[in-house]
Formats: sequence, structure tokens, C-alpha cells
Amino acid sequence: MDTSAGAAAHRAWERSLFDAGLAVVSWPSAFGGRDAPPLHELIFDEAYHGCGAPIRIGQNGLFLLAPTLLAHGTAEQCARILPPMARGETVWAQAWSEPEAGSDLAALRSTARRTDGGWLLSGQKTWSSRAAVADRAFGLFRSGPPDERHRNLTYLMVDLRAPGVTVRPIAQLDGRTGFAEIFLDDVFVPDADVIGRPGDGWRVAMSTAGHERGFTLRGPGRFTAAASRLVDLWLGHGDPADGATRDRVVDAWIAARAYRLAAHASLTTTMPPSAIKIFWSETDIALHEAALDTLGANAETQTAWTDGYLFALAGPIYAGTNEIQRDILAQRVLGLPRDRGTR
Amino acid sequence: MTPAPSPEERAFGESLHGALVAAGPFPWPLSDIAGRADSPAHDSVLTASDRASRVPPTPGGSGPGRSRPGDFGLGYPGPGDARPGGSGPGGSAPGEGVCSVKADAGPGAVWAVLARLGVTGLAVPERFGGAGASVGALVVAAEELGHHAAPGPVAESLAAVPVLLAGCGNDEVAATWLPELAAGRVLAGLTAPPWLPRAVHGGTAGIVVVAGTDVVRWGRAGSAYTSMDSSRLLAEVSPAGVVAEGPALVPVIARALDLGALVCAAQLLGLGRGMLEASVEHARNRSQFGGPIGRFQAVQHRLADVSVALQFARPLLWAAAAAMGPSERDRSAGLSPGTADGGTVARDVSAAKVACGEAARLAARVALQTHGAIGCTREHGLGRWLTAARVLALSWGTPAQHRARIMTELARER
Repeated sequence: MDTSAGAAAHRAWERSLFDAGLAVVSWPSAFGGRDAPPLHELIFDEAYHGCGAPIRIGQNGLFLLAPTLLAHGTAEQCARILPPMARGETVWAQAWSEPEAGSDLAALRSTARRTDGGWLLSGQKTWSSRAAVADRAFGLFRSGPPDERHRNLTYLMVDLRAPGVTVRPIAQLDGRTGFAEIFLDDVFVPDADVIGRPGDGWRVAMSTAGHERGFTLRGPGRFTAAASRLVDLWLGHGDPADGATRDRVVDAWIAARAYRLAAHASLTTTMPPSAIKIFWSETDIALHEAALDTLGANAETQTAWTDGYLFALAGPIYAGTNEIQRDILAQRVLGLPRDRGTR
Repeated sequence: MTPAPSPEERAFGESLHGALVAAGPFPWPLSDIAGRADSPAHDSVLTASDRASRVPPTPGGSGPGRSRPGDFGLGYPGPGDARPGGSGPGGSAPGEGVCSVKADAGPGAVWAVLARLGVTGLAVPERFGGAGASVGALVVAAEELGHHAAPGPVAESLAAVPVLLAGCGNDEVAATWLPELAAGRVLAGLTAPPWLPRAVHGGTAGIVVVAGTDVVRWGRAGSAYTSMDSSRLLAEVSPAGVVAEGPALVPVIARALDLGALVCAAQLLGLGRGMLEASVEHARNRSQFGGPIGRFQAVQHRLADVSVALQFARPLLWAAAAAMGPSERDRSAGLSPGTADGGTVARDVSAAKVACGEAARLAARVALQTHGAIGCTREHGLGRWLTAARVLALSWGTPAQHRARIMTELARER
């Protein structure tokens, strides 16, 4: 995906999905979806990953920006932005983190200055997933004085091909450039590309954060499929005398099944997104650790599992570190007191 | 497919929680202990017994308050009480050997309360005086019993033995003992090696049953043992007269044991929930360094992990309950057995048992660490939840046994 040929193949795949009516099953039909209920989205997710289909190049747009637009965007924005996203024509990157604003996102310093008919963006974003191959990006920018951390932030969509944008790909552990730095120097964004009210970006962004941490970004299909492959791997290659590894395989299978069941249960009950995020990220690692342990000394050559392992390692970090999620769970779900500086 | 309690089952669980809170000091809700420094935190078995004796006797029954020979004033029969007639060769009968064990007032008193709340008859078919309730209702009840750390042979007496006696084909035994179990007048002990090597309250229970692969026997209680969980009294049991045997019993016994393991898993989830609630309460109230200890991330993050473990164990519990199929009432009405015979029961029950056991173990460790020294004291009462969680995690199949069973089942499914 990080090469131009790879990205083109992924875009073509998205187009095939769209033509089959499967790109965005839960979206309104007006924007390219099929108005499918949440259960059908889960079924699609499991079928998609169950047959070994590729990861979605458009996932940032499809699973993070689109729910935000549907909740906070104007009718014009939805009609203009969602259909080309569904067709794989516009690939979106996220632009949240900055060098000095990671877990502490509200410390961000990139600015949006008012200008005729829009905004001028300046600053630096980093760890921007898909930015190396994307067309556009969405993120938060400071549009007023920084005295109140969560105020004066504006949610904007920016064209990565616009004058003043520099994208520098960053190689990850596996050598691929799954994310990038974005440098912005007075990049013009029209008013039409503000989501929600100017200055109200934090509230809008937090609704996206819920999607990023919950079942929307990480449906259960990916883990169900990996667990099934893992059990096959153990039955084919496991050492029957190695009860310790077998138990780790079983525990990873149990976790993947728990995640699937919880996703289905979430159709009728709610579960804190922070708990979901902790659980899928830990489950992803457990699945791949168990696979590597099963493969033993041969593991290092098995890219089918090592690629997934290196990817899984980042899970507890992105989308809000698991430590931040534990803070949220403890303070907002369990009701423990908050006592930490400026947060 | 969204395995979850039905609205009726959920309401039943809530009413049961309310009733157990109202029942007072006996099954002591840990959430009420925490933060109440002046309360006499440990409920002795005497307190429990006294409490239960204030419960009105079950109409028409021989509930608490009625004294019988050998009753020990506990609300369930001891030696010399009702026996099943001619149950098996050798003249053996349940209850033999109980004299060797000093009575513990705990479970009998609990059972009187549980009978009043309609819990003891859940797994007993209606024609034998029970409720013939859904597996879900049993799971809800068991979770609440765990939540309140109710002692006694819960999974044995409330789930596995009723299913064994109702399904074994020995009508005389069923007609004699199931109404007694349903009414809470009799407790049932059970051994089923390797999952259950000894019987909980086997020496003081009204009946003791030994389950093999294709045979159900009465058991004779021998040497008694105390447990790390001081609410448990264990008995070595030797098999005596045959209740029923034959290949037809294999699925009946398998179902009874799976139901017992499922109920034990539900208890573990409830125990974990009780310990998390108590820990959060303690962390909010216990002040050090000028404020509640719950403001420290070191405390918050461990409690958050417990919360995650419990939240993701619950769907496994409910999937296993769904796999175990419809209620006895549905079965006798000829309704579809659902997935009960579809082969995933063993796998799903084992997954629930492992996950609920691990979550409860984590909850216990974190609860004790959060409570600090007071949690290590006998008087506080956390120990009841803590020791019960550790003991039940190893009962009804160890984690290792259940993990091995899961892999066997997964291999078979392929």
C-alpha cells in the first residue's frame, strides 16, 4: 500500500467493492451505502476478513471521518465528500498528533488563521496514518488563543496536494511507510471544509475518537479470522507436548471470541469505547504472540505472521494510548477522582 | 445472535440482588462493607443462621424454624431424616456418614434464604415442584450469588444435581429428592472426578451424588477437610448404591456437569464484580497523601484492567448459556433444543469458565492490593470473596483442564 502501484491496486479494490454495493454497507444509500442495519455491518465485517480480503486503504475516511460527517457535517459536505470516499477516489489521512501533542492532544499548536473565505493552516502534524498515499486529511487546528486548551480548536479538512503542504513519509518497524509527517505553511482551506462550528472542534473530534476506539474501526472479523488461522497453525505445527504455548493459543482464541460476542452484544447494550480499545489491541498482540511462539525458531521468516505482529504492536499506542484509555475508564466509568495537573 | 439475559432474567437478577441486600448480614454485600469502618464486617455463620431463622417458614414445607431430628437447626436434614426408599443395592442411601462431620451452619441458613427467593428450584422441573427455569435465569441467579459471596454447594445443589436426578430415569429418586431440593430443604453434594474430586458440604448435605461417565451413584461421605475458603467444608466421598446407569446417561451427565461449570463461571463473574465494586468504593474513600488513593493512576489503571476483564468475560458466559439451550419447560413442551446438541456446549462453557475465572482472579489480586492491610484481615470480609474466587477458579475444572478441552473441541470442529 505504501508504493504508488500498491496504492493504485488498493484504490481499484475499493472501487470493485463499491460497484458490488459492499464498500459502505451501513451508509445511507444517498451516499453510496445500502442503509444496512448495524448487524449487517458486523456480518459484512466478518465475511470480509474471513475470506482474507485486504485491509482498507480508505479506513481513516470510512470509519472515522464519515461517522463524524454524518453526525456533525452539513448536507452539502456529506453529498460532496462521502460518495468519492466510498468509491475509493479520495483517500483520507488523519492529522491529529503533533510532535508535542501525542496523548495530550489538547496541547496541539498547529494553527488556523482567518483569511478571506476560509483559513490558513500552519504547523506540523505527525503519525498521520495513510498520509503517504492519501489525497486529503482531517484534523484539529488551533483557531484562537491557547489559553483554554479545549476551546478555540477547529475541525478542518485539508487538501494534501494544496500549495504549502509537504508530506514526509515515515518508515515503520516493518519498513513500510504507513504513516507520515505533514508540514503546513499557510495552506488555504475554504469555510466549506470546516466540520461543525469554528472553535467547537474538540467536541466534534471526541465523537470521532469514540469511533476510533470502538467497534467501528476494529470490527471483530479481523480478530476472528486471525484466531481461526492461529488454531489451524497450532493444529498443524504446534508441539503437542508444549502445553504452555497451547494455553496461550487457546487464551488468544477465547479473547477473539469474547471480542466478537461483545461486538454483537453492543447492538443492544453499550460498552465503553475505552474498554473496547484496550481489549482489541491486547487481543491483537496476544494472537500474534501465540502464533510466533507456535512457529518457534521458524517464526522470524514467516511474514504472514511477523507483519501482523509488528502492526499489532502499535495497537496499544494509536487511537489514544491504552494508558489514556485506562484513565478514561477509571475516571468516567468507574467514577474515580481526577487529579492530574491541567487535564 | 446477541447472547444476553432476557428482560425477565435481568429483572430477576435485579430483584435477587435487592433481596440479598435486604436479607441483611447473611450474604453480606461487599459494596456495603467498604468504607463503613465501624461495621462489624465479618458475618459469622451464627449470624447467618440467626438471620435465616427469622425468615418465615416456607408454606407447607419444613423450612427454617421447624426442628426435626438431626436437623441441627439448619433447615436441612441430617442423618436419620427422610431417605429415598430402596435406592440401590447394598442398602446405601444418601446421608450416610454425615455424623463424622461437624455441622457448619452456613449453607443450610443460606439455602433457607435462597428457597424463599425462588433460587433453589430454578433447575428443578415444574412437575417436581421447581421452576423449570431457563439456563439464563440460573446464570443470572448464580452471578448474584457470587456477587454476594453466598457460600455452599451452589453449582452442585442448584444446577448439576437437579439435572442429574431429573434426567437419570430413576423416577422414584427424582420424585423423592427433587421437591426437597426445590424447596431448599436439602442440599446436594457432588463429586465428579476429575472436575470435582471432593464434595462441598458432602458431609452435611442432605444427599451426596457421585457422577461417573455413564453412572450416577449415591455417595458416602468420609474424611472431612476444611478449605482455604472458610465457608467451604469438603468431604471425601466413596461411591455407594447406583441411582441409574447406562449409555443413555452419558449426555445427561455431560449436560449436568457443563451446567455446573457454567454456574460456577457465573459465580466467579459475580465475585469479581463484587470485588471491583468494593475496591472502587474503598479507593474513593481511603485517604492518603491528602486525598483519596483512587486519584492515583497506579490504582486507577489496575481497577480499569479488572473492569475490562469482567466486561469481556460476560459475553462468553452468555454465549455458553445460549449454547446450553432452552429451559426445562421448553424441553418438556417439545421445543427445539437450539444449539444445545450442536456440539459447541463444551467449548463455550470452557471458554466462559476460563475467562470468568481469570477475571475473578485478577479482581481478587487487585482488590486486596487496593484495600491494603485491612483487606488481609479476617474481620473485613474481603477474604470471603477473595478465597471463594481462588477456590472456584480451580473447581468445576481447572483452567488447564478447560483450555485443553477447548483445543480438543476446536480440533474436532475442523
